[in-house]
Amino acid sequence: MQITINIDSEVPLFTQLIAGIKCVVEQGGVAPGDPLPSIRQLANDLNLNNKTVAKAYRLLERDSIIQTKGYRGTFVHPDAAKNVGIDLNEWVLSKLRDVVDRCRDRGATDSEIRIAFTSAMQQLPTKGA
Amino acid sequence: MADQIPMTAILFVFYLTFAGQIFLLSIHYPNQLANRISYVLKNYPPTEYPKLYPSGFTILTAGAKTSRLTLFKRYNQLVALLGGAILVAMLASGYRPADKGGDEIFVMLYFFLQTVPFIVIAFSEFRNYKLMHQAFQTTTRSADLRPRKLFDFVAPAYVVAAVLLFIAWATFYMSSAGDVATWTTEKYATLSIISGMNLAYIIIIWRAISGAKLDPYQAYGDQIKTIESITKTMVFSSIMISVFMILTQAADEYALEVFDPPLVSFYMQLCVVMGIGLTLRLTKIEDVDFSVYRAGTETPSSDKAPAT
Repeated sequence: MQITINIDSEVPLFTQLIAGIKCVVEQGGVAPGDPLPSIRQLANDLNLNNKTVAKAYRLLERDSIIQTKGYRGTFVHPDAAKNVGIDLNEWVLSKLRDVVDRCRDRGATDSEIRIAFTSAMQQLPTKGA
Repeated sequence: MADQIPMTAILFVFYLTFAGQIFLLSIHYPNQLANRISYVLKNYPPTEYPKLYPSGFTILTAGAKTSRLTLFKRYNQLVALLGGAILVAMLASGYRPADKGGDEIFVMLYFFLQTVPFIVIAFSEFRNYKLMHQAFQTTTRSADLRPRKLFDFVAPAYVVAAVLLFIAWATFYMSSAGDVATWTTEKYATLSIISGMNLAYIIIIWRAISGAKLDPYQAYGDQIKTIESITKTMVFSSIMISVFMILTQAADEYALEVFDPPLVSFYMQLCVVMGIGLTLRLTKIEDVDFSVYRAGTETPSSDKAPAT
């Protein structure tokens, strides 16, 4: 029930942390509802910045792998085992590929697609804002 | 009230506790510490365990370390002899503790003399850990995914006792101190100092449980033992300071200040037993995982948590 990170790896530390925790969930090292260490404890044990661990926890919470219950701490999400296989980055990439393909089919140039994408991102309100 | 107690009994209690203080702080614990250091130097030499000696340990520094150990032993022997001489002088001169108290200051001064080598060792240990952190070069780091909680290290009953005793002392102190309007600065200072000490204990415990390891190579099991010893020491210290304050307050109330010197001596001995004694008992040198300090150990087994 431990995770390992390599500080010399090219993979960002928060990504390694996410992968490590997902791996433990996948292997059944932690069960739904099990408590997880606090951000401070994990950061100190791995000799990392608190912000790095906080970022990993935030993304894991977004993916419903973990859930934070206020002062009671952080726990493994009830659906963690099911959600661990879902890769949001991969899903976003496949959706964008689909859109880019359709735009190119209609004759749009890569430059026009990039400008349109940037413009769409700027026009849409930021989530949570 | 002290008039009703025979002076022989008062002196017997004082000599007994003072002799205990000499034995514990200048003979027993220094011997245990010296044996521990000798054991490490003998069984875990710098050639095989270089990470344990981060400052480029050479034969020269090995010699320096041994001579420092001899100095530590000699100093403690000298302080023990001084204590024995004070006891003999008191017996010979027919010493009688002052009825209004105040003699405890000499007990405290002798105690500080006894603690000097322990403070020096603690500082040199911190320096060593600092150098270890500077030399720490492992690229892979591991951590256990189990959260550490206060009650994993100390029984809830002790924590409840510490809280209740603090409340009991504060209530007793404030009720016997009279109307708040008449309080002197000393009353406020005592209340603030004891509250501050308890707050410091809480911070130390919190930092130990969730904080970084002092020794970057330390094995997981040893880290847990260290946290346990820190947590228990702090909780017991809080209990003891409250009991001590209640007893000294009671001594003032019932004119028993004549017992202040043995009380102070006994309290300080308890602090050492609960501090150094508990640490030595919980972290037995034979059980410490020294393999993490071997040359060529890439991933510290430090973080190899026991399987769940």
